[in-house]
Amino acid sequence: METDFIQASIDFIMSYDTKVIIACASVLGAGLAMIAGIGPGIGQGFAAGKGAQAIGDNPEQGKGITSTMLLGAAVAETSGILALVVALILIFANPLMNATGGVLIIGGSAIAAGISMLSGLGPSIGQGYAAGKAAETVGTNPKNKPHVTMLMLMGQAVAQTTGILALVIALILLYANPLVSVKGEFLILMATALGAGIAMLGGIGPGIGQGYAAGKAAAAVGVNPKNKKNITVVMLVGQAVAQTTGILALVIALILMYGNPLADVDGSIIILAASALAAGISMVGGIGSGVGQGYAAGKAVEATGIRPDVQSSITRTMFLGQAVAQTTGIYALIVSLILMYSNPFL
Amino acid sequence: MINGPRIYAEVFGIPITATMVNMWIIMAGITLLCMFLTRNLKRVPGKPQVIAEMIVTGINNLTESTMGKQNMGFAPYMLTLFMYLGVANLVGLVGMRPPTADLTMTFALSLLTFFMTQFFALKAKGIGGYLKGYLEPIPLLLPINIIGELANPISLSFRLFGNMLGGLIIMGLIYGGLTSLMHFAIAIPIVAHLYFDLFAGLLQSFIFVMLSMVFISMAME
Repeated sequence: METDFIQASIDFIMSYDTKVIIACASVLGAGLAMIAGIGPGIGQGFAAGKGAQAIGDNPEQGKGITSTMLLGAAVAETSGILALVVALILIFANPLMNATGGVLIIGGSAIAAGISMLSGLGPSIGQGYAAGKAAETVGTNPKNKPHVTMLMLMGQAVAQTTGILALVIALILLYANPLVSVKGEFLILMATALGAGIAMLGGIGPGIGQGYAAGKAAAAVGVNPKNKKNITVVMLVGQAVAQTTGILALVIALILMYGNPLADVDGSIIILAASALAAGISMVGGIGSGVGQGYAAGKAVEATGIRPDVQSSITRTMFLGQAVAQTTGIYALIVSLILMYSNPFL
Repeated sequence: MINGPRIYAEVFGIPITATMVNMWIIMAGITLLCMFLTRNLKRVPGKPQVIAEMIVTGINNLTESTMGKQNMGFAPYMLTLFMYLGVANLVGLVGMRPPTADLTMTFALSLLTFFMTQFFALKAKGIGGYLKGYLEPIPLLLPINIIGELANPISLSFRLFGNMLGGLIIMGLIYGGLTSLMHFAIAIPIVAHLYFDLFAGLLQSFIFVMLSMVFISMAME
């Protein structure tokens, strides 16, 4: 009876017209993508709060604070806009409506594209934090505003990376889906598409963490503009390490889409499909590493601003700590690879 | 739109891809540039020599502050790496396929860093000290230390590859979609090129070099 339930569900779905099924999946994907709106809301709210507080403390700097806050908040909006664009594509100009291939795969890809875009909420929260810190710093150190704005924008641009990678995966799923031409069970391939989309959620953590580092860097350069070079270097390196789990998530998503070993294995279809899905779900665990490593990067940046002469000791300690914080992200990668390449249940 | 690098020919069963051809072009370009900049060096420098000296001083300072004074010998390698990656990441601006948008390229470079890390750790600490490094801070962490070490070249190569390929795909989609939006056909690609090629390209070259420096110098302590 249990297996009949899944077969019955598929039969129920397949009893509808192909176009109807894809349209149904597309609206679900559009809705999921818009959950990314959580990020800009939180981030921009933080920026506005910090801005209001800064104006209260330094009312004569109102203009500079407001312009920095608005600029930073506008960058924090990016992921929300990208999610909106993908949602609108899914609703109004869906390339999948005319795609040829298994209807389950195409439907799964539409939903997965939406899920992938959801990860934009991470970068937005981080970028909003950076905007708030920058606005606060401009209030106390108005003459260093160009440096603060510069470092805020640079840090925010780096924090956007995982959001961009998620967009890339979503666009591949929509416009150049490699899964539709793979020979294999539709259920497995559908789970593969969903797994690839879900894996990209791991990018939420790096976004938040990198944004925190950007905010700390903007604040540090406002207080010690002469240490700008050291601050920038530590920020960029710290952010790069904080991004690792987001990159590993991308690796798993690409393996799932372009070389899924589960697609042509003999075995129980339901286990294979579940493994493909779980390989992606596992990578969500990387969120923690990203946030934590970003916090370490932020604190290292702060310390570098005060004591640039001991930069190498600060960086070294940051690296050691970040490497330990990365451990669970690596576990996630290992479980994901085991599920795909040496799954004991097959 | 997101085809792999084109294969031009096959020599002894080895495919000659666009990645390799573009890599050779960039290598030739950098070699010519270096020859031009360092021609007839004098005590009172001419214009090319000033540029060359600025570049060398810059990388020397960066190496010293990151790796320490005793590791200045790595500066030439790091400058070579940075020049190659910088140019390779920017060739998208002139319509060439960046060789760094190919995993074979970035993984080869990250393997260089990986083997340098292992070799210089062995050389600096001896076999005993090198192996002991894997048992720290407590021996229980041995498997994690090994996995962490192996994850470094993977994350290093995919960071560069993911960023460059991502830029390539998005630029391809923008140019593909522009045919229907003639009025914005100029503005959108300029902004996108600025972010994906100029900013991301230079930033990722810098990060690759910085992380290589840090990995190697940390392994030697």
